[in-house]
Amino acid sequence: MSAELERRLRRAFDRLPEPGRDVSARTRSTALAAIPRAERRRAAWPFVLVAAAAAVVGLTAAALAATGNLHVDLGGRSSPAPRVPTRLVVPAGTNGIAVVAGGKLWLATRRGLRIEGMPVSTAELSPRGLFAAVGIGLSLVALAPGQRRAWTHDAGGRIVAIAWSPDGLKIAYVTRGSRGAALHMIEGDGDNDRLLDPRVAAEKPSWRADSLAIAYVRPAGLATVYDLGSGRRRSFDTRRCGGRARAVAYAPGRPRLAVAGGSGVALVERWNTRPTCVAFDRVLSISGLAWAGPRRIVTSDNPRPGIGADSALRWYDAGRHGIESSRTAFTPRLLRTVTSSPRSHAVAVVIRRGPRELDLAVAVGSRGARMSRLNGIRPLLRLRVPPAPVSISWR
Amino acid sequence: MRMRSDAKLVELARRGSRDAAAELFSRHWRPAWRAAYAVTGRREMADDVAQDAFERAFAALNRFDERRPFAPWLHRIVVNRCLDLLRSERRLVAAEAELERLEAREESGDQELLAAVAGLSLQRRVVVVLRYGLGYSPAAIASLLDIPTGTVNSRLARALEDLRADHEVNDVGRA
Repeated sequence: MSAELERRLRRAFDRLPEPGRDVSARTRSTALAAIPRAERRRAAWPFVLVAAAAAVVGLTAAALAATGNLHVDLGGRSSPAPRVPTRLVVPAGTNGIAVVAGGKLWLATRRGLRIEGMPVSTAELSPRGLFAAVGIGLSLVALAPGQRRAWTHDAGGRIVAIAWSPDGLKIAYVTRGSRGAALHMIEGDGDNDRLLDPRVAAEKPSWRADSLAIAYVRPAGLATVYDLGSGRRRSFDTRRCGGRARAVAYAPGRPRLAVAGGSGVALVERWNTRPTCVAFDRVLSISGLAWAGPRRIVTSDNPRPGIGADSALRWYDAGRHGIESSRTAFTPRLLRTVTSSPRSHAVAVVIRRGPRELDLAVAVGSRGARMSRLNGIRPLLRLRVPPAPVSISWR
Repeated sequence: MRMRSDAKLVELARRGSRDAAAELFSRHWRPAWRAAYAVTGRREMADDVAQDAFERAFAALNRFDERRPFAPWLHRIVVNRCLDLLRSERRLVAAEAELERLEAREESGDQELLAAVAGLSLQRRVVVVLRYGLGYSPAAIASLLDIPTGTVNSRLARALEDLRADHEVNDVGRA
């Protein structure tokens, strides 16, 4: 009987399923990238020689060209450059931008951090764009310029969202496991990990401007704020403003919290006063929420499936007397998410162009006609990726 | 063409050969993933564990003692990651339910047996996977898990007893 059981066990293990192609490709890429760079450099010296030789040839050619003995044509009449850049460039006046789509990261910063197509679950740039925190496998990894790993923290679960505090000293992150999602906080140097809330929604948290409180969404769709000073947690019921909370965002420089429901936005100013809100038709669904300055909120929304309507970027004025819609820009293409530039002069959006094609683009600011078509879009990068969550970090 | 040994591939990968690292990955990815799947019982968790284990292993290639075989070293990382994760998240109960509906192929007997393996205690499950899934000897398992060979043998014997009892219960249920 034992031999028969052992034979059956071997057969059962032989018939286990195979790993998926996506995870195989993703792991292959991250594993190869994990091999220490110092060792890889040793093998690079032949390429250095080739590069040096090429440089000598190039300089010689340049010298000959300068004396008129050699005609040099650098292809000025070749076909025009593609309309959408194939390489991510840091938008002017900012420190860096990162986009995660289809489980891959594209990132460029002024300080020399550049990543193209690295498999990650999510990513966030540090406030000045010097570092990037990314989720790789079950780890939270801080990347420094030169793609060097500053530190790696074993998070014990897949990381679904990261938010770096405005003072740069702390990172809040959300992990997802079989029991749901949990909110953690770790210091910027990778030390002192703390579990702040074991039950949260798998949405991105948001830091208050003083870096002493974190807003996030609890599973029941309640916007919640964890105060690091007191250790106290407060929740807000904003369901009358477009349904259960899906996203939260603290204003830059002020303790004002925007809460996006499925089809509306609430503004929480004080603990003891009722939030003000703008709710619109339930046939629309908000896909992104951000602050475009201390007094202006921007959302992206799409029509629910089967509804023949356009998607829209909407700006709201958040004044002394609450929140009101100020401008709407429509587009026939689905908007996957939106975020604001560091100085709030523009917004970055991810626009769906096809089943596996997205554009990361910079869109016009909040000025313009109250209702208009979404125009003035400047593409930053075209992404050919499978459908999956999308996020942008712009510093 | 003669197949290069794991030790040779490790040496080349350390020197920066991407092809060697890729070959090492191709050679060991499938069994490592399936071991993770067999222990965790969940495809998503196996993805995470196997990816994490490979990253750790490749990041630590410089510290790997190339006089030793590569596969047990990698499998040790895989198993330890599984144990860490399962212990911290206590997914033991969920694993059984998951395995029942996972895509184990047509033979229902195999599914039942895998579900029974998923119901074993974590310590017994790991030695069963290493012994019958990856084909290690009890001595090799002992070395891999840093436990005495006698402990491996007793865990295996008890695991088989559990599985046999489970099998008999299932047969009674069918009768």
